[in-house]
Amino acid sequence: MTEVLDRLAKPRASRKRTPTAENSKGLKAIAALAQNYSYAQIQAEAAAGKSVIWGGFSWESPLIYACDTIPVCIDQLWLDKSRESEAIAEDHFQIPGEFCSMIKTVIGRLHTDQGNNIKRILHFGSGCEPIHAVFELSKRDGYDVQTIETVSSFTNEEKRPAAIKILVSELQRIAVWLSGKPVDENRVAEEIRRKNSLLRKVHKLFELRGKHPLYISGLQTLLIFMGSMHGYGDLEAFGKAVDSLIAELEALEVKPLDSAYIPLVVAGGVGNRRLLEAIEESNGAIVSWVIGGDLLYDENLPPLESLAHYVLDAQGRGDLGEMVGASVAYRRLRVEDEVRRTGARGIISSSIIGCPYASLMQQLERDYFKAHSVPLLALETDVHKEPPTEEQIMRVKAFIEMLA
Amino acid sequence: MVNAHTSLPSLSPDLLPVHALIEAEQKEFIGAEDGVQRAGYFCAYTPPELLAAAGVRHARLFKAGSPEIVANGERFTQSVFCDFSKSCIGGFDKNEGDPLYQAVDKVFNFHTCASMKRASEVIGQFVPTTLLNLPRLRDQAASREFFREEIIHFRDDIAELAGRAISDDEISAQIVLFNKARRLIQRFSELRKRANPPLSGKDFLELARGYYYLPPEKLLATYQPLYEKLSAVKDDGKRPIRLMISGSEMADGDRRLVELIEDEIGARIVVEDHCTGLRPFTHTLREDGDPFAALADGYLDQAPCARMKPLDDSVHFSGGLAKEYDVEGIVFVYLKFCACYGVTKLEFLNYFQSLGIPALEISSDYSHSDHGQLKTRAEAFVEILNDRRADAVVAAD
Repeated sequence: MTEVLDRLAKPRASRKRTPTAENSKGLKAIAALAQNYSYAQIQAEAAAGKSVIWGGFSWESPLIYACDTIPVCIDQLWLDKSRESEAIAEDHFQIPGEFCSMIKTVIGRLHTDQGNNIKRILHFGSGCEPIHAVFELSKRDGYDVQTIETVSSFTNEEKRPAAIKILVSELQRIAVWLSGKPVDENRVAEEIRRKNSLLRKVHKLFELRGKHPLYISGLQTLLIFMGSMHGYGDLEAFGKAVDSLIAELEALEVKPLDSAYIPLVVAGGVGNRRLLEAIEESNGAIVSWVIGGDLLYDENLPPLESLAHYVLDAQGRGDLGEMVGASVAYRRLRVEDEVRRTGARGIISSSIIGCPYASLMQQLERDYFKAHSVPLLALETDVHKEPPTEEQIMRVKAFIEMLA
Repeated sequence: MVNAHTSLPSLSPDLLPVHALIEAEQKEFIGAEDGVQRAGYFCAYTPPELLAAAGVRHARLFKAGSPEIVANGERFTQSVFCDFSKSCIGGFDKNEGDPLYQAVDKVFNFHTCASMKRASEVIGQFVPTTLLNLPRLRDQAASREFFREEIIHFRDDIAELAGRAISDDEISAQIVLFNKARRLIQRFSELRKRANPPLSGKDFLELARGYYYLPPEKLLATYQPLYEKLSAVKDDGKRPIRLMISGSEMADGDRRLVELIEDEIGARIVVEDHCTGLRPFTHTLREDGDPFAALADGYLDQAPCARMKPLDDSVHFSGGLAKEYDVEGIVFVYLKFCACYGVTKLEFLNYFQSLGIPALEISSDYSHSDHGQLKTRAEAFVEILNDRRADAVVAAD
């Protein structure tokens, strides 16, 4: 993580960025927040007596914050020592090699750090099967794992009252687990309003980013996406950083994208973050990114019901990916919307090697966009930090060259 | 060894009529012009009691084992799905799929693993598909209530397919009937506790297979006399090496490992801890009170697969079954890319080891290219078990 953030602080000279972007206070503030959300810092917070859990950073984060708990994204478990962690998963836990690097690094790192202070894990039962399995294994290392019951609904028709009811009941249970007392619904409502306020800001930021796609790099954009879910443990500070960035973008003159750049839509998270750099170094301009998490919570509903509706709606939109067990069939509709809206000339779809769910979604998208004559490049990466392979870079470059 | 797709399987002669009956039932399912709707389902957590109560023809869709069908499914999934999930999709291929799957008017999927949840999204392109929720937290009252609600929705969906209402009494009657079938199949299995069981592992799999294709009335009428006959067989005192197979689903059509162990090596599978073997028959449902609560509780209380929580329940059940059937070794088989059993395999293997039962771990698929390797490993395993038995005899002397 440190390495990534160092590079964020020093934009490459070769990129055609405005001087303003290189000195952006907003981007620096976001990078600093991300830095403070590092593994070591989070462990220090837990050691100081704060309630900190692995997970709970996504759709359910308003509840977690309302229980005075800091939710931590599990990506922290693979940002460092990922190779060592993967080796532990394969050797100590005998996890077959065909499974994805994410789940292997998660269980490996949880194992090596079992003596640390974050011993509670929260996850959603509709998430991917391998992550369920590794969290079950982590119980042997003393982790207290709580699962929110499995509920899936991919259409409004499937979003039946019983599904909402069980999720509300589960969230009430999780509140007791976190805080030892019944949930304070007023606090959850307040946290929902805070998160909605942040999401509205992020929406606005991405609208502006669409007009200035080269101002915020792919890596920085990814940090903003992650922050929109959990605010790096400090929603207020993150919101201020986003405000600052919005102000910077509003001050810029809107110009058409230089014809040397190829507008692209990216679909999915990009495990190997250096691939984002490869896209940009090849003069790809990411004009939109379908990664999910941009729905607003319904503030008119009772707060726990609002969270329940949010996650089930996200599933149906193909939002939030495997964290919520989203549909593989519907994300392409949003990707298509973004291609239309932005005039992008191609799509880069990414998935993690060994992830059956993402691979299925990619395949469905590949077939769909082929039928609609929209070029799509499907990339598979892992979570390690090594540079992308020459083959991957060549594919990205060839794709962008083809579009040019 | 005989390919189950092309010819008669290597069953005992007593089981051949059962096999013929199943095949005839499948032909009816595919070809009979009876105006009755056809429903398919994948998972053993689906209550067929409701399908039978509605009067629809129904079948569990667990035919797999053919590389060609896998290849059909792989057009959608790429390679990283398990071969069973790929086969479920591939069976619906309009040109090269399975006729049984193509005869289905509607698929109901109580999704167990995430792969099968996604498979049903693809299958929905071929045939109307309803995705239903299956809780994981079996011990929670709220989860049971949720499952009960899902089952009521399942009833309503089936009623729409059947074009008629389904009464509670009809459901209760089917619970009684299916309980009888489950009890009878379990009694067949208990015959395998004998030193020399009167039926092989392959035979038992055929009996279990029939449960998913035959109406329970037909099953009972055929199985009861067979049970009487087999239970009257005298134990001749021989004691082949006794094995349990544990792990991922063993599809209808994937018999190669059992055939290899029993026909080529001479050991005997006396029990299975997988969802197409004994596991679904170790529990019966309440027959009184609210039928939906009985179905919800009954199916959640059945022996758990590794998808259920806590994992320890599945691991301990597996070990307990091995002890109950006095097995000398366990063959733990997981399909490549099966997260439920592939990622957790060490938990099972460690527990078997703690019980003092040797285990052989096999990672499998439907490629048919590893027969030689499998045979070598299984032979070596059985040889070790024979040596252990000989050592035990010497130690007892």
